[in-house]
Amino acid sequence: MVKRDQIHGDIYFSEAEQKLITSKSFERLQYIKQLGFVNSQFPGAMHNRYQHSLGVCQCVTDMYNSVCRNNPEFYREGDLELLRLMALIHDLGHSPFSHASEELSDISHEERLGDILEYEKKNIVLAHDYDIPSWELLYQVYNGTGLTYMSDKHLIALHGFLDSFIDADKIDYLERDAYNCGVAYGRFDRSGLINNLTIVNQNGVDNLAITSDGVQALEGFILARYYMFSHVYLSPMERILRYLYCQEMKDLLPNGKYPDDVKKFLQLDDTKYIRRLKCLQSIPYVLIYDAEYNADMKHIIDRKLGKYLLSDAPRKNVFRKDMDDSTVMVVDTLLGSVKPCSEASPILKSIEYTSVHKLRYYAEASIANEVRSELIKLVM
Amino acid sequence: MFTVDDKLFFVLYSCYDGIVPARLLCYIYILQNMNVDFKFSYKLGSTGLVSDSLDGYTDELFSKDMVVLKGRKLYPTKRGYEFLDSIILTMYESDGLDWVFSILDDLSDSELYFICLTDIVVMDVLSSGGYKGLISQESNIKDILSTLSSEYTDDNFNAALKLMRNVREL
Repeated sequence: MVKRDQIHGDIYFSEAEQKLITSKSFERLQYIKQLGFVNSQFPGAMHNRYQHSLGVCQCVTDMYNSVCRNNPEFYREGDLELLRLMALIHDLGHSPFSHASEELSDISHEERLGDILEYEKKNIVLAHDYDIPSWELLYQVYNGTGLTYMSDKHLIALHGFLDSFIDADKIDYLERDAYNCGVAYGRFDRSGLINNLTIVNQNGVDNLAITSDGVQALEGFILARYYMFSHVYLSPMERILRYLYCQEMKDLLPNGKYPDDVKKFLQLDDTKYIRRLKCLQSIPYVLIYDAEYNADMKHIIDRKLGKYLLSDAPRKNVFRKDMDDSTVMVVDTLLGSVKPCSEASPILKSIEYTSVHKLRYYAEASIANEVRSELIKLVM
Repeated sequence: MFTVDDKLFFVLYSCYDGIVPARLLCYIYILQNMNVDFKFSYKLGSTGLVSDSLDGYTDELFSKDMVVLKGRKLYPTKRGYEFLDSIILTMYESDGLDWVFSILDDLSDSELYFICLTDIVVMDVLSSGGYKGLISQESNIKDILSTLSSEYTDDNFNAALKLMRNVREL
């Protein structure tokens, strides 16, 4: 099977992958937009999780081939097949409108994925023999839990290809989202990043790292993430629509939550309720304040005008999260020495813990002008 | 349940004197096994213990002006301290917390990580194979722990199990 993708060109799939791609759970992803409500501000953002999942499959293939080219001893039979299926399953548990509706689920994204994989187990077949069923192994390796996974350090290393600082998911979605939104600042040197991937053993586990020749590509990658979070993913329209959507869905859904039952859940996608959503017909709120987060300013505005406003203070670390103890390591191609990326690049040192953190206020359209006037007096 | 918002209480309480985020990750893993009404999901990544849900929650707390980062340590904000001061615990709950924190505060980062790792592995075997599974997989469990952590010794393994058993009884 071959699919023509707007980012990667032709992507080829094996018979086993085709079986999964043509399953009900995977085809459902064609009707879940990758970026939820971002298309309200960036109309081109109509791409879906189906395209993205196929793209991640290609990215992880390129990453693995590059790592094995740079580190032939890393290769193990069955790895690529496992990684490609992991790429295809990684978004199966997504709710309608992607991340916009996570609070409408009692079950976590990971638990739902496990249920869906078990439901689709006949369509998930690894040729390489493991001591547990294919769907269970995929779940363990993707989820980072389970005895088979934890007893094999190589599987722990493979987990990093789909979930780490530089993973196939991020590499695909950044470029795909930038392309579809029509923004230049989300683009980065994908080839430079992938071709310079290597492996470094940290605390007994192989981790993805980058050679010194790829540091500039890594800088571009992190900056692309910063710009995309700042201007696209956390955009004001997306945030208010996400809020309004969740309020409306609490009334539309039985018990205000998505169903736990996997068959019922798989019937849900973006199209199910779209015509009933009032928030998509007209938004009753107007954005009247949008700035970098400032706790003192928030306190002042909340105290004086809080009862007239909806506030939103989204925050996202673009590289190292607050909880991260580790970082991307850089291998010097000339000396063979290994050091943290912040020591290899002043740009990375200055942005490694940077977060996008905004402070926004929305007012009901009927009073927006008056409230805006009062707010201007407070902030000036 | 300890308070009206156990999740917020335990995160802020752990941050009271400032805590490095990586330690908070381990503290919350251990504390959520007490009689509380929240549970963050954890996984073992290639770089160690990871909890995307706890990470997202701390982002929320930043947004709500409950925590602040100072010099790479997390602290409650004034608002966060006010919340903590508003919580009244029973003597039993207070003693239990004091006991747990007195132990956790004295452990090194690697020891904390080892306790969490031990519990993740043991609970996984227990959930899939029951107590018979624990017995049959004992040597496999010890192999995994000794491979993934330099803190493995039989004494540390038994101490980790005992600590988690006691935490669950609180």
